Amino acid sequence: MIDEAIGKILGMAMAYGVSSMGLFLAYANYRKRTLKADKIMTPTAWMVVGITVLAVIGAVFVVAQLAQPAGQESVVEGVLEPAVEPIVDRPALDESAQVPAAAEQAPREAWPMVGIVVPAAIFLLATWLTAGLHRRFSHGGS
Amino acid sequence: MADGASVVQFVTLDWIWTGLFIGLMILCGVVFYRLGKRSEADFFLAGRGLPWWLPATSVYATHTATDTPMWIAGTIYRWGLRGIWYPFFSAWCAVSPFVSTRIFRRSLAMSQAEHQNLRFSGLGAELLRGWMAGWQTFMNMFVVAWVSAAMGKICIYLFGWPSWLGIVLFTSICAIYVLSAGYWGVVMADFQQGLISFAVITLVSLWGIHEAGGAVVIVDKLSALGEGWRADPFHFDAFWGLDGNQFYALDVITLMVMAIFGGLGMGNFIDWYPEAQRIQSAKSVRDAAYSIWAGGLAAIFRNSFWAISILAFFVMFPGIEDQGTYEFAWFRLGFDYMPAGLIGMLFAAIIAIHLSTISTHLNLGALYATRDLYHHYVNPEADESKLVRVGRISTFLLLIGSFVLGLSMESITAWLIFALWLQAAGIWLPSILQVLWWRFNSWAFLSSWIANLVMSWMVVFVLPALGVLPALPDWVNFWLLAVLVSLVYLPICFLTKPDDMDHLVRYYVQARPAGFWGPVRAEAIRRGLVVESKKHLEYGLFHKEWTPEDADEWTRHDWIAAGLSAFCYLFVAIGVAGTLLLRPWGFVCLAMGILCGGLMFLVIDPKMKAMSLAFEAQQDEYLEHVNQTTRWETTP
Repeated sequence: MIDEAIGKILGMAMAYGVSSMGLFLAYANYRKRTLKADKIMTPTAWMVVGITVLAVIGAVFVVAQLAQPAGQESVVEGVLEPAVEPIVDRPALDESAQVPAAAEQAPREAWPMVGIVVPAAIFLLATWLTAGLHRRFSHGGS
Repeated sequence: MADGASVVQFVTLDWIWTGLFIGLMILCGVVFYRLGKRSEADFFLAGRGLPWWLPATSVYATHTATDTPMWIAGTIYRWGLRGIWYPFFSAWCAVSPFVSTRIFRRSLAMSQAEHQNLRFSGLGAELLRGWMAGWQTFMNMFVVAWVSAAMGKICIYLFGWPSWLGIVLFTSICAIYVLSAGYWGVVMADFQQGLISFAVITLVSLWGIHEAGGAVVIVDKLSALGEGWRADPFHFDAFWGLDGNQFYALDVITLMVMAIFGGLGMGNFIDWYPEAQRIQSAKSVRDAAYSIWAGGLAAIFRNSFWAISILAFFVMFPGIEDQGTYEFAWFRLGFDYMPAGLIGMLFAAIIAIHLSTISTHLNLGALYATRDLYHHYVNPEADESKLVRVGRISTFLLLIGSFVLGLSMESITAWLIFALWLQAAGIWLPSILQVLWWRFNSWAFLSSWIANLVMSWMVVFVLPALGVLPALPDWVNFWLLAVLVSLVYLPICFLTKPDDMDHLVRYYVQARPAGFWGPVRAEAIRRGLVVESKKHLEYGLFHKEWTPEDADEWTRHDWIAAGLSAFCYLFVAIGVAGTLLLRPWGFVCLAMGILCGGLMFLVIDPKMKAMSLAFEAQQDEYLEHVNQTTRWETTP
């Protein structure tokens, strides 16, 4: 698992990296199609872009590698403390809390037919609606 | 739970119901395969021909994710009934139908990125489109990864499965119908999944209230525990303050302002982007407006059911301090107390909630990748079959990308979801200004996006860490970011030229934006493109016979309808909760909510009908212009 702080930096880099790619596509297309500029990038410019991309990928790789050893402190710890508790990292249900286990609770046998009748009713309704939707939309499309 | 053992006992009947419901959900999507492959507009917008109730259920389903019951359980258990105001941000759906939904539907933009090309002109518009397309493609993949990871945790809780199985299994099931039928599959399955989840949420919540002894017992026990304030949605610790452990009136006021005024703009909340797709899939402006209104109201209604069931859980098990425990409160009410068979159906409903969220974001991410990145930038001459093929390839790539991120980079995914919310602060006002003010140009909007990145990073993380700023509560962060970012985009707006007047006139005539568009409107009238009409000034509040010219104008009817709609949402939120607790004020508020909704309909519906009919007559011509813009056949 990647360190939380490194995760934040990588997340930022990825999201804004892809957005910047969209920005670049937009700029290149505008110059090419609207201003009719045949060559918007010189070979030198392409080389600079290529080196920059390689450098960014390399930096991301190095940062990811640095984050791997367990227990290693982040150089930016404190600055990048988690601002929200991520749902995926929250602890699973603590059975020692006051919530009793399922087996100690209400007897399910008290409602033997409900588990068949209610789902069956909803299932039949959903099936009927599916058939209705298909009949209405599958030929005309709207 | 640390050992991964299951706490829920599934019997054969539960598995039968779970399997049958999953099969039905897949079938409901796949049977529309033939429609999805017809064209790009079919694969991503169901041919722009849906009646309001289909996108409405999809809007409701979008507002319901796998973690939503955990989030609401967490806020209600911690804050009591006043916690109901946190999810009240859905109230942007009260105002938007009569302002931004109407304008966006008339723009006919297939995505929010494409709208930038239509609203703004020149290089700035193009850069905005490219930026937004990249951002949305990537963010939708992350949302899929995030929600899938939450499903993985639920499967650990229920069955003790390894995390990867819960992540990959159900998302792959969803991909079957998203890949085959595109948005047709998404919206049809959403309809079915929305109904199933709504029915089950209601059932489980009522069951939980019953198990706690009923409404009267819940209120009595709260009083006996000295926690009677938990049943009061307006109990505040103080009007304002800076302590994150207190609940201030200013928290609620900020949320209300964000939500209700946010309805004037486009893109104020992350929910806007999927809802924009639903708006364009509706067959008329009127259908688009009602789909957003009804879907948002259903979410508000549902929140109140959840809230009271969590109060029921509280009186049964008060004093739980571990957030990870009480966040599962609603799930425990269902899984621990319902009989065999219903447990299987509850699990099917959780899968329905999960699939509806996943399918939406897979298709939406593919829309931005296909329409804005591939069609507009890579291959403007692509034919329809090729675009559908690219749509499917994009969907598949997003699916694989979400697996990689969901399985290996949970901390990144968590950060990006936070980033999505953080984005709302700095671009909240610009998102409104792009709708309401003609002079707000593409450079100002683009700079607000970039500045918000820097400012939010500084205000939330860097400056507090350096001791320059204290760690601030959410409401202060919001307003501070809003002000700081405005110090960047407002000067840029005035230092750069307005957008091209021809472009603005064309947009104005087609979309008829509200607010401060005086110079553009005057030019449109001068060119004979807009007929100025003042007859509507004589119309009564419940006027029925609208001419197309009058219906296109912004009149007091629109603003009164938006206000009534906001009050409807407010009263329904409080009213449903109070009614479930059998409080007299609950019945009164619910009646007021119904009254406001009815009046809103009487005020606005005749006007919406007239406007929709007139717009539909010209829609094909406008649509051709939008497609020409994407193919670079007109100057952007």
